Amino acid sequence: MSQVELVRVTNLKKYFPVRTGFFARVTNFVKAIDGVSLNILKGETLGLVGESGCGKTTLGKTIIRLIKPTGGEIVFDGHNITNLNSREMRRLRREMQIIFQDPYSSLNPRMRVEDIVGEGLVIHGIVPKKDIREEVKRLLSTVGIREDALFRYPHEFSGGQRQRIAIARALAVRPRFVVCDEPVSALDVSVQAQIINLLLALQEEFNLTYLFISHDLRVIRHISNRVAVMYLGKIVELAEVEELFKNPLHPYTKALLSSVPVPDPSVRKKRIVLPGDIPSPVSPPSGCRFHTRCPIAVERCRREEPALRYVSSHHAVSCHLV
Amino acid sequence: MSLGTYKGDYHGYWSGVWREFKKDKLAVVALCFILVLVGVAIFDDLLAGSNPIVLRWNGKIYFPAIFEYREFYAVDFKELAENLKEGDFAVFPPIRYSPTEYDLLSVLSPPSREHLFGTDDRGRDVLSRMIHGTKVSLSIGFVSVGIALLIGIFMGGIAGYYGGIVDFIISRIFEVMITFPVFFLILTILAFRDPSIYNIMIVIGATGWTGIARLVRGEFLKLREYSFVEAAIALGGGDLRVMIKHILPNALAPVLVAATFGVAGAILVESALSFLGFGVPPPNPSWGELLSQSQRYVDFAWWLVLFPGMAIFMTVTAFNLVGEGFRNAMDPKLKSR
Amino acid sequence: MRNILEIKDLRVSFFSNQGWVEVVSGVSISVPERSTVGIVGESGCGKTVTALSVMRLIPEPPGKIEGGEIVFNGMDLLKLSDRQMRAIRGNRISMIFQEPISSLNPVFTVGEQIGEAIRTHNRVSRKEERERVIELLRLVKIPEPEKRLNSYPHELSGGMCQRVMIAMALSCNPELLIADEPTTALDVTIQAGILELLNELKETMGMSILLITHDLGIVAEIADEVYVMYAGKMVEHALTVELFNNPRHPYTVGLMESIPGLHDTRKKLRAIPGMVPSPLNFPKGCRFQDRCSMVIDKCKVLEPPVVEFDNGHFSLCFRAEEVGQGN
Repeated sequence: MSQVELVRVTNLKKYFPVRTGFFARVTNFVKAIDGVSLNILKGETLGLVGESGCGKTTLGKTIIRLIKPTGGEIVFDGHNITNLNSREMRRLRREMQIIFQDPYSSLNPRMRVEDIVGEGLVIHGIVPKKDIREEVKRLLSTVGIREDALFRYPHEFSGGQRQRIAIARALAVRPRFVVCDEPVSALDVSVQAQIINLLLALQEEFNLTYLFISHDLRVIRHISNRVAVMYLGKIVELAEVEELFKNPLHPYTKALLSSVPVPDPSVRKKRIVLPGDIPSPVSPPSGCRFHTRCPIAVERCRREEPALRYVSSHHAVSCHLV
Repeated sequence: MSLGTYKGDYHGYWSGVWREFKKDKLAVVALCFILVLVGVAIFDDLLAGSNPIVLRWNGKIYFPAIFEYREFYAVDFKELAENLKEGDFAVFPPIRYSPTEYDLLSVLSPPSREHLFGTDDRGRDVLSRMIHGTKVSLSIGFVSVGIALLIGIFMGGIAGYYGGIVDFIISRIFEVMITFPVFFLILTILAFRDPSIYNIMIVIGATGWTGIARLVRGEFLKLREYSFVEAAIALGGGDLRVMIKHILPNALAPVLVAATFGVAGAILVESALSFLGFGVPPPNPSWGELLSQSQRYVDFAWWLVLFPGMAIFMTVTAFNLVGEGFRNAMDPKLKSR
Repeated sequence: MRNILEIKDLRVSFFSNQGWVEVVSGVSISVPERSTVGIVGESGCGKTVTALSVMRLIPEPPGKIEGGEIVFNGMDLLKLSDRQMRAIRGNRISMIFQEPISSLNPVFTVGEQIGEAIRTHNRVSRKEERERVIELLRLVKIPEPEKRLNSYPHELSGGMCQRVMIAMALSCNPELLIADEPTTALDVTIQAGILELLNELKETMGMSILLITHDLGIVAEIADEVYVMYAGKMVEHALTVELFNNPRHPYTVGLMESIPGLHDTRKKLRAIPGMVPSPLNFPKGCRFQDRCSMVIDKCKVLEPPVVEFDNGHFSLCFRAEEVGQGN
């Protein structure tokens, strides 16, 4: 892993309009991402963790411009891609791919595996037409699928196998950056481990950079080099993986870590149970967004929004009280 | 890594649907009936007509039922067949009357050996007119639904795919269209234009697309959110590719079911138009036109009511049964029962 | 300790388009009074079917309980009439499910739904009913119960809905609560609260919990003893501490090693290869043979025996003695 930046995101925002009435007037906004800045280094895995509705999936899709940002800047490999039009963007799609959570809806049920995996090859003309079948076979064997899968349809495979096929499809265009959006969350534990191993091996082999999105801290801990913790559209803490798990600073991160069930009955610990629910991203709380559930909030947290600041060279946190 | 076991041996989606469809015996019978009707519509000239199918005349072979020959211009084949030379022959269709052939000596005669389904008020053979009417009815059904499908898929597709302002405008168009009672709209339009068979097809098609468009829009809106569609965009696929290769094939099943019902509806509309006298212009035969004649003679000419009425009823029912069968075959919730 | 529930040699089959398939093959489970028993396994191992069998909620057809006994407080539930079973279901045995939001009826308020659960088994006045509902909501720690009473399910979050489901399940003071993946659909911080609540309720209400989950972490947190299921078979049973310290079945060992984030990070996990066999073609002999790292010839022909250790720890494996020793 180098120290060279592949992706830099500055003050990224995505507001989804809420429309109501006959004329579909915009009456409000869901602030899915509200001012996120981070960088992803070449060859690393940046883990992005948060609970449902925190905007982590939206962030992943916005970085690769599957969703158009409302504001801010995305720089990919030195080029500002924030405002590229769809034609320019299509050419760049080769470089960045995505693997989705649900292996059942991520493969077109009416297409055969050969056409699913080969589609990127056709779109970008990566190999000559006559070599496509060979290339697809090669890709399938890379992800551990037998080549007699070529003429089969997705419904004939199990969840884990479908996820492998989805990975082969993403790899086909030889990307440099892959957003993994909860790729193992829908899988059984034993299959989950197989896919994690596969993703790690592929990263090594093809020099991939991952943005790994998950709600599962155990998976995040295993696969990431650095971890960003997201709450209600904002990054609240960003640190190297061991640092974050050993020395969490933000009260939300602490609560999150203490909530993870540990498969060891001898360490039944006292959890930090957060009161209440995640507030609506339509009208997030004033000041620090976490103050409504924070066990240590003070008056200042209600008024003033904390900025993400570095407390050491590899550890950034956004909290007044740290 | 082994591939493990596969669930069953069926491959594509449509072969699975077909397998389910076959379990519904009534729908299969209805489908066979429709296929027979299509056969009748295609081969109507060979089934009913006054021209022989094959004719050997002066040692040469002719097919007057299919082709026109200058030699036989204004020739009465019945007379010709009676005076054939040695070695020549003529094979006539099973029904030896053309749908437009008058026989003023046997006007409104009931079914007999001569005229199996009787004759109408000008002495034309009802069975022959019904056979040729099949072609008119079916082609109006299919072509108008085809037009409705083209417009509906296009409008619904772009509304559902692009959403936003495009969707807003198209949706308002649907709503405006739906407020008109379609049948009266058709009547009004046909009052201004001449009611040729083509105009009827276009009018029925152009007024019947809203249902299909709304269905397609809904499907596109739903499928647009599926990960495989996003994956295709992420691969760099253009809008057209995504819509045609990824969304449309998955949206098609319910649309085709609706189209099947649409054919039945179009046949009914055409019959109703002809019944009211706005339909296919004479002397073209059509089921509705036969039925409209019966209005005047309903007290005794029961054959003019029964046969065309049955034809319309059975055809519409058959299309509805087939549509129903396919809908059940495609719906996984009903499948498990 | 007395067992409140004893499942003995339960067999359940389902009819598929390829004939009858046995999805639960001879499962025996005992739930002692006032304790939490976990059933762990991956999807399709038969854990949910086992739970539904206890509630007699297996849809027939296509399902069928082929054999075995389910003894609850001395009576065999499988021999009861539907009417007798209805008097037990929701009253003495309750169940909560994975999807709290879809388990609630969207057109009634939560107060009405909990109230209905109370009325089904008790004669109460309107006022008593309301008081009992508020008491239950307070019990499951829903803030401002007097107000929440009138909320509709969609106005509540997933975690709150699960609390409402628990309140409904507790409405008749059940002796046994079956929780089928109660936190799988919830976020970790919410999950932590629900698990803590279940643990507390077990103590305060003196009931037993049969917890079904795929997550060994959850089992470690709240279960007193564990049953591990694989492909319709019970493969290991032990007290929780014993199971984690001293697993005696290769599948249990594999499951533990598959959990990421515990050992060295960014290293290859020791995943179990392959996938769960389909009930349509379970292999002859041990059902785990194709994926087992310790497989021997015997496993491919003979059903493995039940090997017993101390404290009721048993394992369904020929090499149970060696498991966890050489690894």
